Amino acid sequence: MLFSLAFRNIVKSKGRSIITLLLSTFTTIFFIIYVAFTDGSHHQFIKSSVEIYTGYAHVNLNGYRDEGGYDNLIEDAGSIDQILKNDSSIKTYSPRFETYSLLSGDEKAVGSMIVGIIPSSEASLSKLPSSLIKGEYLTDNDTNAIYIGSALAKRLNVDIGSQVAMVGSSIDYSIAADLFTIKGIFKTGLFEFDSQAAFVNKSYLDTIMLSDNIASYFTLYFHDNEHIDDVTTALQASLPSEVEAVNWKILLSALVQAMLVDSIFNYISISIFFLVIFFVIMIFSYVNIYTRAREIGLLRALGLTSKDIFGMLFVEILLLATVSIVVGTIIGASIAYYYELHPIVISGIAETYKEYGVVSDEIPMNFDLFTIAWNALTIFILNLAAIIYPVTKINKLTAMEAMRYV
Amino acid sequence: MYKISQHLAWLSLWRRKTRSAMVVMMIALCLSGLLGLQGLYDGMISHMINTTIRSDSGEISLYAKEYRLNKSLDYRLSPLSKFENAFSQIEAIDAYTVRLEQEGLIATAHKSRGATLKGISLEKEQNFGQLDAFITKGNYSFGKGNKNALIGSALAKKFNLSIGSRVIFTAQDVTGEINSISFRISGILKTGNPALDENSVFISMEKISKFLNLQQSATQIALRVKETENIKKVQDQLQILFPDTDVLRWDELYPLLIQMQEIMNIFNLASYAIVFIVAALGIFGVMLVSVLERMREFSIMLAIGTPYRIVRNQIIMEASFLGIIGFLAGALLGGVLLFYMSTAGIDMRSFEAGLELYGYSAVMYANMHLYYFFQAFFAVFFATLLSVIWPLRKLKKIKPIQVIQGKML
Repeated sequence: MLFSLAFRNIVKSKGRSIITLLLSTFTTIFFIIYVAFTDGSHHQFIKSSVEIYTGYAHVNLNGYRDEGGYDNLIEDAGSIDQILKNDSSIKTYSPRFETYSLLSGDEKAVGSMIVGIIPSSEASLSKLPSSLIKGEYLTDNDTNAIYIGSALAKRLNVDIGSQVAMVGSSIDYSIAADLFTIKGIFKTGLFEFDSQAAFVNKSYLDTIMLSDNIASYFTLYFHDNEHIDDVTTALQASLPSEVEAVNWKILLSALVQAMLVDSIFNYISISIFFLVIFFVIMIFSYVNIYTRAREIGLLRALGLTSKDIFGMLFVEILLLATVSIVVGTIIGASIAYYYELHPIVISGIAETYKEYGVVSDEIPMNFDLFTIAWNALTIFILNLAAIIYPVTKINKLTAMEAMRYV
Repeated sequence: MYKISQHLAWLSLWRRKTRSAMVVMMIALCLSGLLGLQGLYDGMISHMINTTIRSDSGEISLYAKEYRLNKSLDYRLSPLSKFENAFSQIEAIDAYTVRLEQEGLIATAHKSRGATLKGISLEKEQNFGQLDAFITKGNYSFGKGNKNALIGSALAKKFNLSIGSRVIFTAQDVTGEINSISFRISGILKTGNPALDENSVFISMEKISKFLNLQQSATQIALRVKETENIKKVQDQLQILFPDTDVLRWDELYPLLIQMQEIMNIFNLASYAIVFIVAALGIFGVMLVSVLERMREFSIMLAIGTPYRIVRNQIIMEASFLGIIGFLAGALLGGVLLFYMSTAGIDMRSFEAGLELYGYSAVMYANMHLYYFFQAFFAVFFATLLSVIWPLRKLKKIKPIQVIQGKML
């Protein structure tokens, strides 16, 4: 009976029903798209930073991340290599040797990050080979060939075939110097990285830096990167105590934190929108319920309890909310899914915001069923909460008071 | 007549107290939230602009042509006296500072990385942008005989440097020779400008000039201009005096900051528009019911000869009262919120690393401007007017006698 009464009321109060339906549907769509867009852009940011160079996890000596330098190098890289080779959760890995040196072209010298890499291994670990824009990528047999960032090449005023001198210090703190020929120029889109980094075949750099069987860290790619916390914790158990396995959430903690702050501000901004929606639904429910005060009084006089009245009004909003949230979720989720597959393109955004780590003009939305579910649930609860006050208020009136209500 | 409408509107408003209170609360809460956000976002961007101007660009900066494209010492401003004489003739220039910089490699005994060495005059920087206020550790001094250096906080952190630590800087001088210089750290600076905090080491102008083998030269001269409206005028004046020099305003040097400010303004306006269009729906709901349930009352008024405009004014005023009370409550609440956020600030130090990555301050202070409240008033006013259009149309269509007889609603 409550259901049919509620249904009749919904049909009878068309204005209120349509406004509640439209507002809730629109809010659901808006919220799902807003969160999908925000999360999508954040994921894009983090994914770019992880996949371009950093990698999903590192294995390094304790203290390397905080202090760096030559005092915290893995000095028996071979033994760590053996452990990683035997770990079935790791798909691929590679050692890197990172140092900073002065690179000089014909006219200019710039402090740069020089990294010794195994060129063939990097293909499945980073975007270094695919970021090539000029010349050639390194091979495992290269000697004094250098693969350099596009902005760094510009700063040094050098091109393919140019020679650059490197002056740095080897791991015994003696002067390390050599002459390299530029073999390739890359552009990842990460502005700071492109303007600082240069790569050399590790086996050759080891002869200059005296870093044979030594690595700054190993970069890893797991079979299951989605559960990175679990896999790094499991890996840690097999590593010696002085060596740590850290995943991208820690390696890029500042970036993760920046995205979190951005999300917090986004939620605060959108909460004002929710507040106004809440009030509008509450006002319409209140007005609607009070225009039916006489009818409600009559129902009470006929024997319906205040619980029944609450149930009837609750079923009304439940029906309206369910319909709007289902429709809103289907539309919102479809849009999020579509734009995850076909990202929104904002021409020029990568160039404009390059210093902020934006590497692509494409901004995909993030289609995540769990996120969509809690978005929809939030609007659903908002709808139900909006009628609590009007229903409580009308139920305080006695049957006679309600019937006399003008 | 107007007074009667006003009186009737006021009384009608309080016939249904809860309903009116809901609308007032809706307007007040949304408005205070919007005011708070507007002030906070505005404050964040203003802080970035302010620190950039104070620590780097000034209102206007001068560079040798080509320098910004190719940061080579071949493109430098020299002799400095030529510029300094010109500045003394322009009254609108409040202060200026001269900087000479070179990129190179900073190293400690254990670590090295790319950085920028900047030669400055502490006195000039203090007058220019109160650089001393950015000191977080140590002293705003190059020590005895100007032998020490100041360093950006993020760079100091990367090297684990403290006051008294020794660092070596290696760079090319003007002849192309690679030289090294050593100094101790006497102060750590945190300007909020990531480019400075992560990359810069400051030493005295005399020391860098000697190190780079240069005299009377600078790579940048930054100026503070007395009034904002003078900036363009001073820029044009300087461009005429130094046609072979890039004379650029801060917004030309950092277009991203202006863009961020514009995006934030658009975001604020869009938020006001969306929130108050929806709020207008809420006011509309109340006004419509208020008009419908008093149709007989209005019909009687019209039937006894009350002009339609009196009734119309009454309804508009009723909605306006709701809007004004909501606005006053919201403005008061928002004003208190803004005052608190602009004086005490919001402590976000637990997210410090993330905020500093993009140049935001970890303690955020809101801005508070009178125009926020005018903007808010117009939004409420617009929402109020929008909400009564439909009820008034409904009222205009009624036939009073039929309504009184109960034949029509």
